[in-house]
Amino acid sequence: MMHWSAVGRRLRALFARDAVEREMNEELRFHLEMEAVKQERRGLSPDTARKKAAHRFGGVEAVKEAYRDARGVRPLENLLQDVRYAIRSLRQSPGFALVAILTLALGIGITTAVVSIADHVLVRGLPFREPSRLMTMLERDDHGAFRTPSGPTAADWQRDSGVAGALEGVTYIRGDGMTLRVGDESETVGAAFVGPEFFPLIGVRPTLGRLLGADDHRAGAPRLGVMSYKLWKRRFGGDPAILGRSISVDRAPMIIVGVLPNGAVYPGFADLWTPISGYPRKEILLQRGFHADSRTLGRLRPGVDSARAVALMRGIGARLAAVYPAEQAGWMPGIRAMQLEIVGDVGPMLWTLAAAAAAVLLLACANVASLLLARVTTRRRELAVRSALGASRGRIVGQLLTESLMLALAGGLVGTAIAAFSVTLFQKVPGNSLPRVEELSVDQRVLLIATVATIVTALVCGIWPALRATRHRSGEILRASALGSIGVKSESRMRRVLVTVQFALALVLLVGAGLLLQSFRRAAAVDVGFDPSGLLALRIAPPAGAYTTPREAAALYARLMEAARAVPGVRETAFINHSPFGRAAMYTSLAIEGRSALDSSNQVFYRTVSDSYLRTMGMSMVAGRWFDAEDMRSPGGSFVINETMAKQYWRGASAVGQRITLTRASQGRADFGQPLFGRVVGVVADVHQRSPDVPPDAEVYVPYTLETWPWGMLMMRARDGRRATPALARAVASVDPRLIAPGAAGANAFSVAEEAIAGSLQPRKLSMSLIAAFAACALILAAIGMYGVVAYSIAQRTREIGVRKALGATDERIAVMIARESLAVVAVGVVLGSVAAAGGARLIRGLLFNTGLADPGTYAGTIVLLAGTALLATFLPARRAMRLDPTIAMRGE
Amino acid sequence: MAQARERDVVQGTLDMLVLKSLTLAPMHGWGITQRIEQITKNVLQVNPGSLYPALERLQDRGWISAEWGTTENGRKAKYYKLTAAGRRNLGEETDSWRRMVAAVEAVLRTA
Repeated sequence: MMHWSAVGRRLRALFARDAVEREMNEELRFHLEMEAVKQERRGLSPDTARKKAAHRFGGVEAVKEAYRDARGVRPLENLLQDVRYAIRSLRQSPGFALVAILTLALGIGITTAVVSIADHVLVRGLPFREPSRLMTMLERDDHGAFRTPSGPTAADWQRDSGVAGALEGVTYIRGDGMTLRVGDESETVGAAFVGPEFFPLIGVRPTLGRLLGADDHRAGAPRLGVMSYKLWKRRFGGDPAILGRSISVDRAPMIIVGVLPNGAVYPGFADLWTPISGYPRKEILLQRGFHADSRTLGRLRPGVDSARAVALMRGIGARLAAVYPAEQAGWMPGIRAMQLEIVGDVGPMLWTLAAAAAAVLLLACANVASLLLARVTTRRRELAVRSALGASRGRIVGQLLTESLMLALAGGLVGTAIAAFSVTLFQKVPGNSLPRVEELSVDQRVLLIATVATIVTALVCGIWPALRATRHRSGEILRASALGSIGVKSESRMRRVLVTVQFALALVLLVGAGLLLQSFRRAAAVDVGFDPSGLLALRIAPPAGAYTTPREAAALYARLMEAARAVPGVRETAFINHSPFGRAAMYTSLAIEGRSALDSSNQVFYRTVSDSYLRTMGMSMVAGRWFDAEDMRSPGGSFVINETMAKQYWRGASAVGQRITLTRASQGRADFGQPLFGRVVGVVADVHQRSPDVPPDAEVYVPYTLETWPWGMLMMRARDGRRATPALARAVASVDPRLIAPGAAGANAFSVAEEAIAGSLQPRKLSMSLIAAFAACALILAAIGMYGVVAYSIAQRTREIGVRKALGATDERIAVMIARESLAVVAVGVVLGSVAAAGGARLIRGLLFNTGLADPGTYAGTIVLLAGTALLATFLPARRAMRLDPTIAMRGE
Repeated sequence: MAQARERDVVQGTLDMLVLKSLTLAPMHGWGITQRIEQITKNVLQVNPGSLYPALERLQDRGWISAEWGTTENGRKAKYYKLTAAGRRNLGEETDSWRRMVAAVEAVLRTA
């Protein structure tokens, strides 16, 4: 039962402590005076009366303590006192405080930054309703290949009761490129043609306007579209007046009714969503065998997991395989979390980073714990005095913990600033390929993480030294400290253990960094199959309404190749629909004469090329022949395939002469999508298409005149590389000035093959650099730890070293003695670390390229580096020991 | 001084005695000790080390309040005053004390 006024009284006791104390003293003095007056009235002399009064009163201090206790704020008061005490004592050793705070700030800052990035990408969901239930629908075969279902198959799934038992709904999304024209500029944007069930299924709310409703999908409805946030910002400056505005898409008006939130993009290529009822190439939707450029999305029913869902869908899979054996035999429905499609396989990298960051934080903690241990050792006398004066062990531990909490709080504050800075920096890393990185920000969750990291750090660093420091009885210490120090030896041993752990952790990180570095070097050294030096590419996209017939477009490309080749220093030029290491690629379905259905994924890369392409790229033939000028003039019937395709489909038997049929995905033109029959005339050596560390896929080349694309890539080999681009830009403009922007913008439009290859390795380089940075941090922290321990141990052993010298030990002997102790620490650390690294390396297995987990070079290099670092950290303090004058050293402390 | 006759007041009882001595008028701490000793003819002595914590406790419960005032000699002193809640509580405590005393008395009589 506590009266409300008691709260006010407690607050006053805490925050107006001085006034409350003054009042108490005043009240007690009054009491004493009155007592004295009373005694005087009884006839005692004033002096005796005062003594008598004091005797009757009892011990003044004891009364005061009882009075204070009754105020009921003791624990809080103690805390405030501890905080004041901690700040005072930290201010007395600013060097210690600074080193400890900076070490902690680094650890907390890095961990917080990495954990918030990992949290953002891995843990926090996509900006859709219950994203964990959203599934990408697939078809799988027995060999593990998968494909997206065709339109008719998806429609069959939508009507099936088994599917309905597993999923709330299924929606088929058709993707295509559309030409968006704003003013005089046109560009190709990704469009998603969606059914009326798409938006309710995915569960998203528009940032602006509305989504597409059922009415919008009826025949005769106006052509409507919903726009991505990115396109809205980039093309229309984020102007809300976009709503209801008619824009030109594929040379016809489209009215924009809504804008999706930032980051809410599915499928990933889409910038526009428009009703599938308005899809111009309806025949594709009806082709059972057409799998390219679509997505099928489903939403799991609550309580149904993916294994159960796949089981429920088996029935429809078997029925379709029976009815349509040509297209469906061997393919069963499957699902994959949509999260995986969007986030991709950055998981291992982020987990690795998080583990590395945690290791760095642990190292920082070990350093601070070691510092605190050294500090309580020197402060043992002070603590003993406090204990003798009546402070309980709990009180002293509490006070020491308060001190480490103060350190951690300061470190946490600085660390949060470091985290915010690192996250911003991370977003700006060029070539950062993390999904949805632009939405990343430092928010209250990050602050929460930082706070938790801080408190945990304080406890981890502080509790052990505090408990150890208060283990001995005060009397022992007060007596012993005259002689030297009690427990110093065991403290030194503890600090050695900490340094050993630090070296073990550093080894794990260094090995990880070394393996990633090795992988990166090997990936960068891969022969990509063509010569990238001086190779340039320029995307050619004719203006809307120009060069619309295949003849006109082919003639334009021929003129462009000729004009570019005329530029001095340009040796070869060629034309291709999508260049390797470019962002875009196209697949075609493949059928082989004499085989009913292919045994695996029958999607192969599809390239339309000029006959000069092989020469320009510096590629080589494996068998048969490349295209000649005659193939370009009268195309048809001749295909060239790559080595991987030859091996994959003909298993070493000669592919040359085989008859195949290609049915490639339609892109942009109504006359595409017809099957192409022909014979393989040659096998060309593999070219890496995406990245040096991704093995090449099967690929087929056809003459560019066989199927002339409305856009493509002009390839040029120039002696001067990038420096040739202004002249090349002028040459292109001389053919048609609308093809290239004037001046520097035109020259910058060229992409350099060497840069594109380097760019494809950017994610690998990024993760390697981050881990390397962590490993460097770890090495420095371990070195600091070693330095501290050696310096302290030498200071403790000044006398011993003096004696040894006086007895004739040379400087070298002393140095060897000290170095041997450090190396022993490193040796134990290496053994422990190697065991941990062997386990930890599994984590990064997926990130390695052509590098074994137990790469001997990496381990050897790491051990040499660790030993060298340890010796350096030992040498600096050891030099002091060698310079010792024995006579001074022996005279004592 | 016959130390044996002077008893420190047991806690709990002390609270009741303090409240009782404040029923007539507000008093300062020393005055309370004097009043209790005077009424009990020095049988009960109040130790300041018990009195002042008790006064804090009683304030926490809202049974008394304190404010600074002046004595007849013009000296500043802290005066404690019984609140309405304190008066109610004193009534209850007195009743239950009387019941207990009567009960103990009855036991002693039969024994």
